[in-house]
Amino acid sequence: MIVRWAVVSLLQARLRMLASSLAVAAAFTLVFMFRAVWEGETRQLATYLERAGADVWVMQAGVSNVHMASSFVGRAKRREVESVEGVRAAAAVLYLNSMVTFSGQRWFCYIVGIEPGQRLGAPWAMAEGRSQVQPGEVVVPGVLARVSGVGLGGSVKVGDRDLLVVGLSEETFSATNPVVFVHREDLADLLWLEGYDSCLLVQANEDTAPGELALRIEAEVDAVEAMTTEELVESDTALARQMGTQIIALMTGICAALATLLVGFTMYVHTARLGTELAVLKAMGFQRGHVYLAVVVQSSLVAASAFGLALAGTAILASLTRGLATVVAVRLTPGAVLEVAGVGALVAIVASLLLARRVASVEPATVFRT
Amino acid sequence: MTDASGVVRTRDLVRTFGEGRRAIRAVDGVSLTVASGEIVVIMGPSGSGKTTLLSLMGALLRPTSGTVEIAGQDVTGMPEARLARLRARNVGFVFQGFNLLDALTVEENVLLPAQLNDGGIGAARSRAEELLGRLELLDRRTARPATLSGGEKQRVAIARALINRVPLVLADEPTGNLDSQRGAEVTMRLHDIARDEGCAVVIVTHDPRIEDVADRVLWLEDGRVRDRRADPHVWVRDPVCGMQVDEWTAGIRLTHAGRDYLFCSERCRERFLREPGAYVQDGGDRHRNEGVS
Repeated sequence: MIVRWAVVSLLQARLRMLASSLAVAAAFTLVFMFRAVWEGETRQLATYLERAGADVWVMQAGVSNVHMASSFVGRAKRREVESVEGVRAAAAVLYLNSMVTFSGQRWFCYIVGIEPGQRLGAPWAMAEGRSQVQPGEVVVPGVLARVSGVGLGGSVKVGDRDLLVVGLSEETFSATNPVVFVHREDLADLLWLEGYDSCLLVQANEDTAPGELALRIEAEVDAVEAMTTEELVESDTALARQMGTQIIALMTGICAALATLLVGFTMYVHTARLGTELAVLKAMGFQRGHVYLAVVVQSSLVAASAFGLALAGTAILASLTRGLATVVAVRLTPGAVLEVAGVGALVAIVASLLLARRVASVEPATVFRT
Repeated sequence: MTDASGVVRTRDLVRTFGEGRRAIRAVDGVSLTVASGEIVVIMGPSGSGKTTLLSLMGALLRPTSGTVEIAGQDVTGMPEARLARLRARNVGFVFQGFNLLDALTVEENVLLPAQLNDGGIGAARSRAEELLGRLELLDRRTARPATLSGGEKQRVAIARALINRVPLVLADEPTGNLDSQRGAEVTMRLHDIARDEGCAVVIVTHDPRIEDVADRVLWLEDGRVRDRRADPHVWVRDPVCGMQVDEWTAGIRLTHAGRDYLFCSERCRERFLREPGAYVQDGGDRHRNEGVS
C-alpha cells in the first residue's frame, strides 16, 4: 500500500514528473549518444580489417594492432610466409596514419598502399569508378567525396602529392579514420621506405583453421606476429575503446551527476509538498524505512521513466543521424543500454540517499499543526 | 491494559521548548489517567499546551520529564522503532485537517495502518468493510479524498484510526473544520465508538458542544490541567461588550479604580482603557462585572 501511495502520489504531480523525467532523459540521451557514436566509430575502425579479405595478419614481432601502431615487415618475409603450409595466398600492404587534404579540408586517414591487381587489402565495394590504383591515383570513401565536394577526376593531396581520384569506395568511411587507397609505390616514396611492407594479409586453405595457421606462421617465420582477423579486430577495438574509456567515464559521470541533482531536486520538492503526508505516515506507526522506501520508489520511477524516454529519444536521434549525417557512425549496443540502465539505478539510489536526512527529520508530531 | 491502570497514563509530565530564559513549559506537571471507554475532552485557550499534551499522550513527542504509559507500557525512553510499532497497534489519530492521503481511495486510506498490524491488509478487509458500513461510507469506498465533503473526510479518518482496534484514540479539534451539523455528527460518532469499541478517546477542542458527550472535561492553561467540571463556573460580564466570561479561565484582566475587570478579548480591554468612564457607571459597571474579588 505504501508503494502504491508512493507511485500514485508521484503520478498526481504529472507535470513535475514529466518535466523532471525529460530533463533527466536529456542527460541520459547525451550518454547514450556519446556511447553510440563512439561505438559506431570504433566498429567502423575495424571494418577495413574485417573486409580486407585476410584470414591471418602478419606484422612485425611485438605489434598486435593496426590502429595507432606502426609495423615494418621486410619484403623477403612475404615469400617465407607463402611457403608455410596451409597458406593459399598472401599480399602485402603498406599503411600510414596521416592527413589527407580534400578541397582544402584536412582529414586524418588511414592511407593504404596496394599494388595493381591486388585483391587482398584492396577496396571491396565501390560506389563509383575503379578499385585498382595506378601510381598517382587514389580511391577515396564515397561519403568523404560527397562531403568535401570531390568527385571522380578530382584530386586530393596526400603528403606533398596531388593524386587523381579514380574510385569512390563504400564502407570505408568513419569520422575519425576514413580509409583511402593509393599505389604502394606512392606511399613508399612518401615514407622514403623501400623494401618493407607494413603487414601481410594471408588467406588460409579451406582445410586450415586461421588460428592454427597463425601459430604455424609464427613458428616458421622469424620476427613476425601473426594474428587471425578476429583477434586483430578484437585487439584494435579494445584499444580504441580503451582510449575512449576515460572520456566516456567522464561524460557519463557528469551526466549522472546532473541526473542525480535533477532527480534529487524533484524528490526534494515532492517530499516538501508531501511533508504532511509523510508525517501522518510516521504518526500512524510507519517506520523511517517504510517512508524511505516510498522515496526510493519515487526516485526510481523518475529515473526509470527518464531511461525509457532517453532510449526512445536515442533511437530516434540515431535514426536521424544515420539518415542525415552520414559522416557519423552510430551504434547502440545492448552493453551501452545496460550500462545506462545501471547509471539510472545508481542515480535513483543516490538521489534517494540525498533525501535520507530530510525523510528522517520529518517529525510525526507536526501532524497536529496542519 | 485495564480500566484501573488506564489506557493512557501520564505522571508529572513536563515538556519544555527552548532553553534558558526563553524556555517555555508547554506542559507543566500533568498527571492524568484515561480509562477504556472513557471520553476525555481537553479544552483551554490557544497556546495553552493542548496539542503538546496530545502529542505526548500519543508518543509522538518525548517528554522533558515525567512518564507516559500507553497500554501499560512506559514509552518515555522507548527507542523510536518500538514507539512506531506501539503507535501502530495502540493509538489512532483523528486530525482537524483530516490528513487523509490524497493518492489513496477511501478504502485504501482506512486499510493503510493495517499494513503495520499482525495479519496485514488482507486480514483487515472485513474490519474495514464493517467500519465503512458503520460510518456510512460504503458507497464512497473508491472515492478519492478530494471528492469528499468535510464530514465524510472526518468519518474516513475515524475509520482509519480504528482499523487496528486500537485502545486509544486521540483527536485534535475533530470538529474544527466542520459546520455545526457535521461537527455534531462527528462528535456523536466519537462518542459511539468509545462506548461500542471500548476504547479511550481523548479530544482536544475549542468546541463547547463536545463537552456534552464527555465523561470528563479538563481545562489546560499555562501547561497545567484541572478538571473543569469539578470547579464551579463563575461567570462575569465583560464591561465593554457584555459577553459572559468564565472568571476561572479568563486571561485578560485589568485593575481600574481598585476593582478587577475581566474581558473576553484584548480589543475590549483596549476600548476600556481608552475610555473607562464609558463602561463604569454610577460606581458600578454598565455591564456588571460581578464576582470579581
